[in-house]
Parts: sequence; structure tokens; C-alpha cells
Amino acid sequence: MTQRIRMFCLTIVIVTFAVWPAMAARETHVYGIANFGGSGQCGSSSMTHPVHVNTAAAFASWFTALKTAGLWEDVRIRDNSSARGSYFTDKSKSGSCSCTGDDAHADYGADDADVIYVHTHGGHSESPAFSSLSMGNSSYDCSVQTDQNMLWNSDLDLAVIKACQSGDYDTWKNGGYRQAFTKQNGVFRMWNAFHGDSSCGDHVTAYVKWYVESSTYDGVGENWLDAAYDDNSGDGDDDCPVSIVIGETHNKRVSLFENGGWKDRKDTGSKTGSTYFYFKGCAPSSGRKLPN
Amino acid sequence: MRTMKTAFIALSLILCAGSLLAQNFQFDTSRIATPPRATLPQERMTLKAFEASAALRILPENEKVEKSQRLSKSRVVEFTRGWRIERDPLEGALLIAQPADNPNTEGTFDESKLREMSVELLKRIGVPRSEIGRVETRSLVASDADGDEKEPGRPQLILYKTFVIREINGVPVEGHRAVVSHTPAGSLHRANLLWPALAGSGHRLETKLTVPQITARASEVLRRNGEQKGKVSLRWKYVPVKQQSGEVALRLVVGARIQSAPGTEPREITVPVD
Repeated sequence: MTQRIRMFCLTIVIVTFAVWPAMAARETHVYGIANFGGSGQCGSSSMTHPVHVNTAAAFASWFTALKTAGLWEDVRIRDNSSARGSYFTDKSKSGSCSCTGDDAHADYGADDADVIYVHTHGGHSESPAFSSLSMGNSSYDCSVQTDQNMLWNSDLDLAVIKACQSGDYDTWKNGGYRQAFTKQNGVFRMWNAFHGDSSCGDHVTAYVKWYVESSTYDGVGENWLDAAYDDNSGDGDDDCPVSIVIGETHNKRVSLFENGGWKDRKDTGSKTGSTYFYFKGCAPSSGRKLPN
Repeated sequence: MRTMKTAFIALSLILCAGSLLAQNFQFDTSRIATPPRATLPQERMTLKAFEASAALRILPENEKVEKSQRLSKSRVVEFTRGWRIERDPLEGALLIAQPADNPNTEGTFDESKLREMSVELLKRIGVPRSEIGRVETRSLVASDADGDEKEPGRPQLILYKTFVIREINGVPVEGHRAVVSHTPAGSLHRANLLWPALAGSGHRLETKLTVPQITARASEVLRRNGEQKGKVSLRWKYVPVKQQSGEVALRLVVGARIQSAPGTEPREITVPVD
């Protein structure tokens, strides 16, 4: 009998350790996709922007600091060829996109983390309503779509996406970034992104670092808009950051936007509605002027 | 004589090739026609602005630091009765926030008054007027869509955001700004600054290059970064170079902003001018 109990306890310990990485409560993955057009890479060489990995490193470094302070558990950098399309594809969607679904892959998949940051190129369609993100490994899907690939139904709470057109207003209005990629009883609740095109350069590394370091306690949505907005010195072609929060009521969604932070990623309840936070009248290229 | 002729022909060919290559880019040089002043204003942002006392100056008198916590080697969080202050002198960051429930969204406020209030607040923290550039207030709004609704609700004003860009000698400093947030009724909600102190020396504020030399250099840098052609807007900017103290030394450069092909991000590439 004692032997049986011992075996049972041992099994519990083994199983716990086996699933531990996927269950880590505070885990960040960053995906900086900078290299394009080379062997094994996606896209064309004109898409290569080295700074994409720098911004990802800036995002990751704050979580490493929090980890050192005992406030975070795990940080993984999955740049370039390690950013596979399969890591952004849910198994249930593999059939519709003829691709591999592996988004819960321990320590690699986007739905295995609690917080993700992605810097890559993007596009959008208003109908069907989706945004697409360019990936880093040509052996897998080179472009993943919010509707065809993504379904955040495992660990992911918050996503920060530095990619053009990754949070388009009309796409949102037409139902994109809602039921298409989250479940009513799921935990996924924030998609910080851009309406229209957004500029790229060393200034992005500076503002990503500022954003991530300012958002430990609160402002996880609000600070994104503070940091990433740019009116291009008044010349037009604004950078229009947006925050899309999914949840049960307006108040719960505003609460995450305002009062949520890395330490407290506030629950927004059942994912039955969403709120689109933006700057009135912001006017980017490749997107309409945002409504008043 | 023959050697001189050959050298002259070779030089002409090189110049010709350079000029043809430069023609792949159409430069707008109107903003770099005049070089900026090569000296800094007397009054400068100092490390004192990152002491708790500076942040407390903008809060009600009865607010005192009650507890503090270290988040990283240089970032400290302090809690008063009604506010939270995060200070990081090494990164030049200061955040003053009111942890509260959702802000009251009733009312509207005169935006020009908000701009005045925001500049006044920065001055009280220790930001000199000579470093304050463009000041712009935007309305942060929220639009709801519940269930399968196709028509979102009317946007609701959540906060006013006043963006203050750090400019010295009329030249923006890359990445540095303050954002002061007010509720629709005009009360302070949050002040978030990335505004490091300026070093006493070590700045490189001038260039000896002419505009044609800068465009030639910009062509070279753009091509090295994989760009082949397009419209390029050139602007002066200062790049902050971090010192051990957390202060920054400024380096004058030119930002080359290129309108890339659709589907790729518009880029700003730094062109050294020293």
C-alpha cells in the first residue's frame, strides 16, 4: 500500500514537472522578425529591418529585470527563424489554412506565454476582416492571419504587436480581433497594435523600452498609446497606436486598459464584447482617418 | 600629364556614378538647409528632477512618500496616500500616476488651457522652457462593440493626452517626450516622462558637411540598409548618448525618412553628419 502511495506521489511530481513550462503563470515571449528574403526566410530582402530584433530585446529586457526582482518567471526570445508561423496557429485552425498548428508549444508558441511582443511587417483586410503578420521561417506559414490561424484559447493574456495595420479600425468594426481569435470563456483580452502603417527606426526601440518599463503596475493599454503615437512632426502619415480590449462590460475593459499592468493583468470576464481605444482624428497611411 | 588625365577621367566617372546612384532617391532637404545652433541653452534638465521631492512638488501638499519598492537596479516606486511615483534617473524616466478606479469621463475642457497646465507642470518638475518643443493635445476615446454588433457605439472621451516633445535649438531629441494626461473635467491623471538629464559636456552639436555632402552620405547609408529608391525627407535630430551617470550627451545627426513600398513600414534611418 505504502509502495502504491509512493508511486502515486512520484507520478504526480513527474507530471507536474512535465507540464510546468506550459503552465508558468508569468511568462513572456518576444518575436523580433528582422531578416527576410534569405535562404529559409520569408518575404523579400527589401523587408529586412535589423531594428525589429532590437525592439524585441528591449521588451524582453524589462521582464528579465522583473524576473531578477522575483516579479516574473520566464522570458524567451524567439527571433527570426525561431518565429515560425506554426507558433501563431491554433491546432483547431490547421485544417482551414493547410498549416501546422503549434501555438501552445512550450516556451515557443505564442499561446504558451502570458504576454507576447511581436515586431514584424503586417497588412489587413476589411472584408473578410483580418490582419496578417509576416513570419520568419519559410518551412512554416510565412504569413499568419488573425482569422485563419489564430485562436487564443490557452495561456495568452496580452499581445503587443508592432506591425503595420495590425489593429485596423474597419477590420475591428467588421468583427476582426473579436470572436475570430478568442473564446468567450478564454483568458485572452488585450491586443495592442496599430491602425494604418507605423514607422520604424531606432526611435521604436526607445519607445518600446519606455512603454514596457512604465507598465508594471498599470496603464498597460494607455501607456502603449502614449509611447507609440507620432504625428510625424505634423507632416501627416501619423503613427496611430490602438488598444483593443476584449471582455464582458465597458467598465471591465476600461479597467484593464487603465489599471492593468504586467503585475496585475485584470480579468475582464466573459469575452462577449470589445472596446477600441484610439486617438480621435489620427490619420495614418494605409488606413482611414480615425472617427471623431 | 597622361597620369593626370587618367586620374581626372577616373574621378569624373566616380562622381558621375555617385550622382546617378543618388538620383534613385528624391531628397527633400528643406529642413536641413540651415544648421542648428551649436551650443546648448544655459538652463538644462538635471538629475535633481528625478528626486522624489521634484515629483512631490506637483502633488497636493499632504502627499508624502509612505512606502517604496525597487523594481530594477535603477527604477524605484514610491507610494503616497493617493499617488504612485516611479523614478529612474539612469533611464531618465519619471512616472506620476493616480492609481484609481476608471477615471471620471464626465465633462470637457479647453485644450489650450490643458497645454498651458502641462507645460507648467513640467517646469515645476524641473524641465526648462528651453527644452520644450511642440505641444499637442489629443483626445483619447473609446468605442464599444458588444456581441456581434457591426455598428460600434459612439466614441466616448476617456482622457486628454498632451504630448510635449523635447526639442533643443529647435531640433527634436530622438525618443524623448512627456505625456501629461487629464480627465475630461481637467484634473491631472498621470504624467509620464522620458526626459533624461543633459550632461555638462561631451555633446557634438555641429557638422561641417554641406547639404550635397549630407545627401550623398544619406544615399550611401540608405543603400547599406537595403533601400534602393524613393522619396526621402531629411531632418535634423539629436541622438542621445547615455553616460554612466544617466545623463545624456547629444549628437547631431540627420534622420532620413523614406516612404517605402506598401506593406513595409516607413523607416527613419539615422545618417551621421560628423
